[in-house]
Amino acid sequence: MSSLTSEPRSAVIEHRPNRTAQRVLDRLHANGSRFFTGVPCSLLSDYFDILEKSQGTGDAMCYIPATREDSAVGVASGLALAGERPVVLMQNSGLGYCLNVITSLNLVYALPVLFIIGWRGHTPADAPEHQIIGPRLTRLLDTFDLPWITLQPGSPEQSVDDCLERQGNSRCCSFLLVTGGE
Amino acid sequence: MLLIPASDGWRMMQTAEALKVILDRFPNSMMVSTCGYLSRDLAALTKEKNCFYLLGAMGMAAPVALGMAIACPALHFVAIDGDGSLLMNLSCLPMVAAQSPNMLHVVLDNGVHESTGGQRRVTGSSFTSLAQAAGYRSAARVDSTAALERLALEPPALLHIVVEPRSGKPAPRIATPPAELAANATEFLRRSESPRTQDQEAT
Repeated sequence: MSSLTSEPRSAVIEHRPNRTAQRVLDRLHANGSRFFTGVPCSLLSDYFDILEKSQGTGDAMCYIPATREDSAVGVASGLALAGERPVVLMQNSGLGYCLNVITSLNLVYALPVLFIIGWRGHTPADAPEHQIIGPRLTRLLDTFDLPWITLQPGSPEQSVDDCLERQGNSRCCSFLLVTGGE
Repeated sequence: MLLIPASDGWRMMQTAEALKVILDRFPNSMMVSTCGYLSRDLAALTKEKNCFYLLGAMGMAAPVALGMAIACPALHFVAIDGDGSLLMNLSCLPMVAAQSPNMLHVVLDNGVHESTGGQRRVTGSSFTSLAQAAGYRSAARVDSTAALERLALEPPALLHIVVEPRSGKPAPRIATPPAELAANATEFLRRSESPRTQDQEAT
């Protein structure tokens, strides 16, 4: 390509956040979720980017950074007891830390939390540390009858609605799995 | 170290004594107590609805209280932790400090893992130093009910209370179903909303 028509090398590359993340969060926010907590996952970087930029006051989405994923579930449980509709975001590697809180607190007391999980190790092409839990993620959730759906990038609102419906219907916690395929 | 004078000599504070002082000092605060004997002790001491009892999820007393405090900024909260349960989840300290809740984080420290049979716990750390390093606004250590009764700390605060292991049988298991424990807490939080909100609801 000729240098006259190509982009200048010094041009700032504008980062346009993926619209899917915005639509997912907006749908949850419209459904009454004000508080979002968790630990970052690279597959969810657009979500965290939006949350970090949110005002956090009044009715705006409020992000509470957690030090570990199980503590995020603890915070979310306190929010749920106070009548809020908390959302917890994490990488699937954090789910292992959360199992005690989910199984001895959320499921025992029926404290509703919606989880957005970045699905590392979804394919064998991913890094080695994800290759044990990655292929078994949905089986792990199934073991505790935890409802899950995989986010469909073409219809994020529908995916959120499906996930919310499962939260209400069964075990109070439901999981939106994000493969990063969008 | 201050000790309570007793007729048969000096003795350490007991868990039940410390809990009674906390309940008396903070009648309008929401308490969140950790699993094991502490929740059972607290449930045996009060029938009021301002307590949320954890049966499991060791290490989550402060995070749960934090979540409530974020949702209900007009209220005051007391997280009742044990030494073992706080050590299990020390990483909650910076998270609590960063949110700056209106919260007192109590650590009832009997020096052992009492609820599982009195096994050794990891020793050698200072809970007050850990809290201050994490960013808590204040932290203090007490060994007597007299000191406990008069202490006022700016939140978020950590209050390290040294107590002796229980000599008698622990309080019985909590008979109330967990769903009811949750409903009681939710009801207390709802009723305790600011008077302005309640006035608006009335009109």
